[in-house]
Amino acid sequence: MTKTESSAVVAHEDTVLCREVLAGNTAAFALLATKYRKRIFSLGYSFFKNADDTEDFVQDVLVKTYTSLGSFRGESLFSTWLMRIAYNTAINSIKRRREYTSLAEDFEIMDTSGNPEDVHLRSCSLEAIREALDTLPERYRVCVDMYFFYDMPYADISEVTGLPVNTIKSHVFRAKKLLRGRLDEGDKK
Amino acid sequence: MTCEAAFDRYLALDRNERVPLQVTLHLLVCPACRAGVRHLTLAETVLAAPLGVTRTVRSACPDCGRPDPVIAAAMARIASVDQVYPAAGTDVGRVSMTRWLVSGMALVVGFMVFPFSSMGVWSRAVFGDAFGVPFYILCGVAITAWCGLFVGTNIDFFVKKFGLQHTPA
Repeated sequence: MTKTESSAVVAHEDTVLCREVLAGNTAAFALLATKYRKRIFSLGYSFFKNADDTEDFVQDVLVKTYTSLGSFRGESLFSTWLMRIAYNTAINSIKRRREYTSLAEDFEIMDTSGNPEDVHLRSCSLEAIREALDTLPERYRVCVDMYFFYDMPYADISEVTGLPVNTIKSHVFRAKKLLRGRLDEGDKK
Repeated sequence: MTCEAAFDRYLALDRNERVPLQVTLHLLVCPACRAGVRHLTLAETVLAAPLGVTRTVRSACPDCGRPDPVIAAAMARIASVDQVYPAAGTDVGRVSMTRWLVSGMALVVGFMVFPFSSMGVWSRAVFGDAFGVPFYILCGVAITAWCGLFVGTNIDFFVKKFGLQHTPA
């Protein structure tokens, strides 16, 4: 199954689960929550920078998602809609620290096991992304994270953050260019 | 096309976007760029892997796995929120277009026929010319109200049909 096909399957599955929740099956919501818990946690961690506040944040987002599910029209993917709720909740939270910290700085919070080749490639890539992020204002860092770590296309990032697609595109382009340079250097060594 | 130009065009692509033909042709003949694309794809895959969304596994025995404490707490909060789906009154189903058309036609035909009915004839006989203007105003108000209700209650349909939803620039 290709990546696109698998995302289509995941999206279809989300739609089915949403319908089940709206039909009264609350247990289906637990499945959706389990599926996206890690993403919500990672986004929250970038804002709150400690596990306790982030866990409270995850709960808030899940409760908000459940109570607003009736208004979800399916015009975007469920995952995008959920990320928008999470992003807005984080932005509006009084508990959050001032700055957004990229996942490139705190990548250890994720389970990053893998073969040595993957580990090397990851550390090389993280370095390049960190370098790209250093040149960006705080509000744009989240775009680069969403592209590289959350695997989101430009339109979805724009929908979540409210930033123009072209702005996102140019920041991601710069990060990709740095990443390419870093990978080339690694290849030559 | 130079390597730099081809690679820049490649880098500008979005997730899952089709690679332009010119770039594909360049990659076919340039092993260095091909290797660069392979490395970049690998790097992007490795970075996205930890937060990748996988398919839902429905356990045959729902009570077997220990629930995640954060999700369990969220589910408890959800249970305490007095919101149960399906919410009363939300399941309106599809709006019947026939019902709207029939009511609209009935309204128009009613106004057309009224002046010739016994009631209309009596009204004209009693009020004379003073009957016409208020009657036409009433027709206009009723038809405008009907149109307003039709659009207002089916606003979702019109928004989607004519692409009126807000999209960020």
